[in-house]
Amino acid sequence: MSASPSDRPEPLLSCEGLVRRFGDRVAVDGVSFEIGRGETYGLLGPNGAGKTTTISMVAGILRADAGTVAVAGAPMGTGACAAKSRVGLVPQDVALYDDLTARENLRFFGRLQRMVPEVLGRRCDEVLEVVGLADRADDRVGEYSGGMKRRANIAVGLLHQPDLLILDEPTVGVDPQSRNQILEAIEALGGAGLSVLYTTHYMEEAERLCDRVGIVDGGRLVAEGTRRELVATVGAHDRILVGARGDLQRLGTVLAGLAGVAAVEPADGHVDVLVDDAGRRLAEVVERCHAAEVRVESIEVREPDLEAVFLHLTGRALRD
Amino acid sequence: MRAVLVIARGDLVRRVRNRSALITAVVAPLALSVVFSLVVGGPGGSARFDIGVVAGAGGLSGEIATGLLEADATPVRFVRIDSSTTAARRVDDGELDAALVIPAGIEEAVGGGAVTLEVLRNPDQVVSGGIAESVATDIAQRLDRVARVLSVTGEAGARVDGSTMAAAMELESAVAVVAGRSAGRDLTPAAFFGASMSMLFLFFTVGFASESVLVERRQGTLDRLLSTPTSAATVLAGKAVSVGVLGLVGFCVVWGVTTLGFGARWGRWPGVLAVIVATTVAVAGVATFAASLARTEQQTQTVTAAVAFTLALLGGNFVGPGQSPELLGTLSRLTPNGWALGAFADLATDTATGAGTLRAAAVLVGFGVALGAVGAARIHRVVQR
Repeated sequence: MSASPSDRPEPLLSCEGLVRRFGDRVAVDGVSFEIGRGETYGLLGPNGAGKTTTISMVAGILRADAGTVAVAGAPMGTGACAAKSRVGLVPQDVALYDDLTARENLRFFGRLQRMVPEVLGRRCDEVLEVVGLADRADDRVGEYSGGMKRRANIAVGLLHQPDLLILDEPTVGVDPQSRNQILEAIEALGGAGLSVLYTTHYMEEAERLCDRVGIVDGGRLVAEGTRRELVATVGAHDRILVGARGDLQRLGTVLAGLAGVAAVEPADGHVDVLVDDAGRRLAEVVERCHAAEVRVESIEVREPDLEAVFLHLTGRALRD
Repeated sequence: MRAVLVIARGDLVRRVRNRSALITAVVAPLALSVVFSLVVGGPGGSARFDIGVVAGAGGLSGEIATGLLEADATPVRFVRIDSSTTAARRVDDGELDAALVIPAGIEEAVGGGAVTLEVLRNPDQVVSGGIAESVATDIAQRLDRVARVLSVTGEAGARVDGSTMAAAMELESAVAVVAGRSAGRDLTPAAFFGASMSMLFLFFTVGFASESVLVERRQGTLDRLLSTPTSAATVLAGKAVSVGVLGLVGFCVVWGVTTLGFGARWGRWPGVLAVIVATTVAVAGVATFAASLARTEQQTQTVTAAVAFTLALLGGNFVGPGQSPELLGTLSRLTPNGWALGAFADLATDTATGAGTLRAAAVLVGFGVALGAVGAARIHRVVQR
């Protein structure tokens, strides 16, 4: 996590009131959000929520029926060369030419990004190294495995050193090993100061990668903030599960009197404690366990996740 | 402009690598033009040939003409014409496939003089012209034999033995057959079908390019292209340049191979090149418009094939200029195919004029620009969502 909301500088990306209709269907309905420099922002929502349509407008591929997009102050649109050159897009599906090698694909898109030949050649080598394809750079993409294609797909987005990298569900259909490699690469990019707009319907990815998350449903941005802010918004609690032997009913009574504890539920072999902030309350909970003379066998902290937030906000599970 | 060339180059490299360009632009038209040339033997195929006969009313020429007019020579029909001037005009206008002029004094050959049988033919009409020449040659040979024998024996009805025949054969020929239109040459089948098939397959080359826009949209590469500082118009222009290059190269390769390998005569190169360029523009425009009517990749293939074959049938790609029924001949002038093939035929037979070639080229470019602009605008709306 490279930036907190409080110290977010001038936004790199600013979207205001984006609307897009396809016939009678409103795919995106008044979406507004900002991304600061060096920030990783996630658009989290189920399939069909309007994430891809939103980023298509952000990338200048799709016209907005209403609303504006600006990248570093430059207005984005289908003909906006200045804004487009600051954005790198990694589409959801692998968008490469199978008949060309990875290096040829990079050179092709690099020329369209108006990169000068000397820089282009150097950058091709660099991004191929970053995504781990240097040794297969001159093989045709059609001969690559699915994971290699995904990595080459990301390389094209990084080639021209954009200020903002847009990744549209880059891990869909990827095996666990490649998925982890991709997530590590994105973490590294975010850590290096690149601004990232990341769409996903995987709650774990949004939690792992994103400084802030916008929850999208039915074309609308229904909530936005850090994970903790979102959780606080819906009033969800951290959970401390204490596995113990002894008088657990008595332990429950003791713990219920602690500050910040919302509820305590003793059960067979453990006590379920709902607290406002597990990080702050954990030490005191452990101390009271000892004082209550129960034998603690395990302690597990569960923070409320974005799945719970989504469920609370929409009444549906994220993958419904 | 640089982006246009980058896209065009990328498109060409991919199409060469997957061999689709090689097949549609070169191999298929070349193979089919050779096959058509071998099977048909020349652009033609009408069920009937009308050959005019110009001859005096009486004498030996009149008898020969009467014999021809009464002969049942289906599919050849002989028609009596008053004068060689009228015959030449009707051949030029395409009302007659060819004409045979039998001079009034043909008896002079029998009397020891020399006569000439003239065949008036339209250089485009290879088959019917050949038939008229065969008829003239047959008549000439018969007359010639009689004239030679009479020259040796000195009288009709004399006994002819081997030594008489040998002496007769030593004499110079008394009857000759000449082509009545020295300005024109025969249209070689390989030249006609080379141009014809190149044009037909150019529709598919353009169709593939239009289809590739839809394919790229499905595969996501179109979105990636549009996410760079590249407009939809630039993408389309790049693909148009790629198609233009493929079309020109394909045409020129077929031109070269049929010329060097099959003895085709396409005519003077500046004119041929101008008509090739104009034809490429025309077909690119028509096919772009046709493809713009489609919404799916499958529809693009179907619409392109339907338009290509309909225009080819109307325009005479499979039968040759002047061989279609009258109605189709008229309709062919409404198609780029008819204009292009007419121009190619005129060039190949040395009957083209500079003005005529330029007019045909202008009409072809007009076809292409008008329909291409509408088609490109429609496709642009699809790309620029």
